[in-house]
Amino acid sequence: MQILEGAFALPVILYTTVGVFLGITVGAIPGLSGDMAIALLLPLIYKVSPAAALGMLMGIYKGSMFGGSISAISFGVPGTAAAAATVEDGYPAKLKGYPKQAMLTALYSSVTGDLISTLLLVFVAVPMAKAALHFGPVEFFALYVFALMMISLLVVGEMKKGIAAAAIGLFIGTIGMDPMMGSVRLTFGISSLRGGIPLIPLLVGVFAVSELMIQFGKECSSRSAKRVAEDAGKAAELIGYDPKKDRMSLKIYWSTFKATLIGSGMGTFIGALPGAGSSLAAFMSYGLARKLSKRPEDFGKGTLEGVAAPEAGNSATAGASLIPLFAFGIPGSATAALFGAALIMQGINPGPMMIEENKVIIYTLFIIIIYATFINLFLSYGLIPLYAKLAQIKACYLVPTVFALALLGTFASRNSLFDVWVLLAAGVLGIYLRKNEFPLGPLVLGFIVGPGAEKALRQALLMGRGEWSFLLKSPIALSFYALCILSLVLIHFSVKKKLVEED
Amino acid sequence: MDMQRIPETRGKTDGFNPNKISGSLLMITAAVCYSFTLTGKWSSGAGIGAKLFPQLSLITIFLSGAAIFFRAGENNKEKYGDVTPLRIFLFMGSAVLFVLAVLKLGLATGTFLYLTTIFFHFRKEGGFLKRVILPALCITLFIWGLFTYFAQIVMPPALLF
Repeated sequence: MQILEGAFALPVILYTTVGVFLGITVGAIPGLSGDMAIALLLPLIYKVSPAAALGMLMGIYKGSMFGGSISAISFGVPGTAAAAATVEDGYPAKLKGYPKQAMLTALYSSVTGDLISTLLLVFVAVPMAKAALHFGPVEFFALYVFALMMISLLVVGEMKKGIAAAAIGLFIGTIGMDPMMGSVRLTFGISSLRGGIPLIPLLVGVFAVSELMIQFGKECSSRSAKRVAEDAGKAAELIGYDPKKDRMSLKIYWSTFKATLIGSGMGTFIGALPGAGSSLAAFMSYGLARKLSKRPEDFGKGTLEGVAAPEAGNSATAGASLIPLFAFGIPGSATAALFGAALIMQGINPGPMMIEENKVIIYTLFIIIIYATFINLFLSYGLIPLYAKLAQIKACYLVPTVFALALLGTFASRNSLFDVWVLLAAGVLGIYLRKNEFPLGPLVLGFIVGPGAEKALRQALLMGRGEWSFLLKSPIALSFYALCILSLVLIHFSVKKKLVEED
Repeated sequence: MDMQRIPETRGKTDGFNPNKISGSLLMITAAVCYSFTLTGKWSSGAGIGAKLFPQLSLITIFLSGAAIFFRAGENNKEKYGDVTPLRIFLFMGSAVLFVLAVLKLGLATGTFLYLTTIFFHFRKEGGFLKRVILPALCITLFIWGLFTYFAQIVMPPALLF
């Protein structure tokens, strides 16, 4: 009863609705992302009740997944990286005169994928967390190694840059007090560093400030957006858009249901793997749906199956990527890492004991996660035409506003100027890494899981009296290491095969 | 938003290979930081000591830096070539001035001044009132309301408001 009261309290519903609205909004605007919005809101929500705060962030996460497809279908420009695969068929479908069908197919498949993965989260996280209670430091260290390995290997781009980014994150996480004996490390006499690099400025700096810095100074008119919109308008005029032909029906939804299920399954599987992001899930879902389709030749020409699969795929990662966070305290994606940071700010420590120690709030959160999916459905359905216009907001107004929010939010969270300097330094680091194609996700994940991994390693070595071989004495740990080697070999050979094919 | 940013804009970087520079930077940074782990007086208790994890991370950074340096042949272009050091400096400078303005003059005044300056700078055409003052005023009101009523954050007292 307490759980239901908490989940359906009016402020919680309102915050979740606002979160979904914000999520769809930032998703629909190319250049802004759900990650950025969550990072920006982290400093502002620490005074809000845990259920409302977490509901809002969850709403943003879910909303941004669908939001990205709005500009992908309307203008052929993905609002988020995860919606890039939706452009392949979504935009051609619009040009063929079926924008409404494409948009609603994206929405329904997105909601279906999200719901399937959310239910999996609810039913799988609890037993997994119970199993993890039997883990000791040896098993946990192996799990951390596996997570870090997957995070580095599954990044889009070069694997070695993923490994470097994760190691940078791990190193930054070691600055300040050591988690076992309290030795002060690498602070260079700066007293503010004794508590370590603050999490929020680092997250906001790396994710938001670096992105804003790229867009800073862009022209005060989104010429290319206008051009795309004009082109699309002309194309629609040429075809002669007929709203009667562009009606959505249950039959159309059913015709894309197989692709939706393929996307949901693929997205859930990939989302549950630490490090594999929603973009990868969307492209793999698209590829698999095309392979298994009765009419693969229609893909790329505006088939609705090609819209349903990637949308279900990227949305299905939302719930699934929280499974490792809820079960083991290890975030499965950059967004899950931000969510983990929000949990910490609310006094909830992610880990196997989290569900046991915070039953009421966690079960409340499960209910919120489920109904946020439906809020997303209704809100998006009603506001699609308005959102399509958002993609044309001028960068010169948006960037300074978001930047001001980032600076003020970071400063206000602790009234500390030091945090502002960390934010700007993290922004510079972020821009350097972006410019040189280093993935940012592994850095943040390395920073967040680093202290836990260090503690587990040192506890394990203490138990083994300094013997490194002690780390290999647990069968569970050994299976995690075997999985690491297997993944490394599989990914190495798949990359090699791809290179040979390209040659 | 400028849509052309999504299909990655690449700048010309003839004459040097960004991967070689990244690799060298990683190796140098790791080596320098490693030297600090050798001189610092840290506890050696709890397993193998407080040095272990920073050293392991730095060794990984060094090795991945070396891998990036020696396999740098395939990619010799840098993303976002238009993001120059000058632009980064201007961006950071505006941030510092904004924060100082907020601390000295107050949240609303500082934000309004910052937004007005930026909007004025990037204004291409149209009226000063419509394109600069009004948007700056509306956004300032939104930010002020967000901080004062939604987040209920108390900012340090300043000269104005």
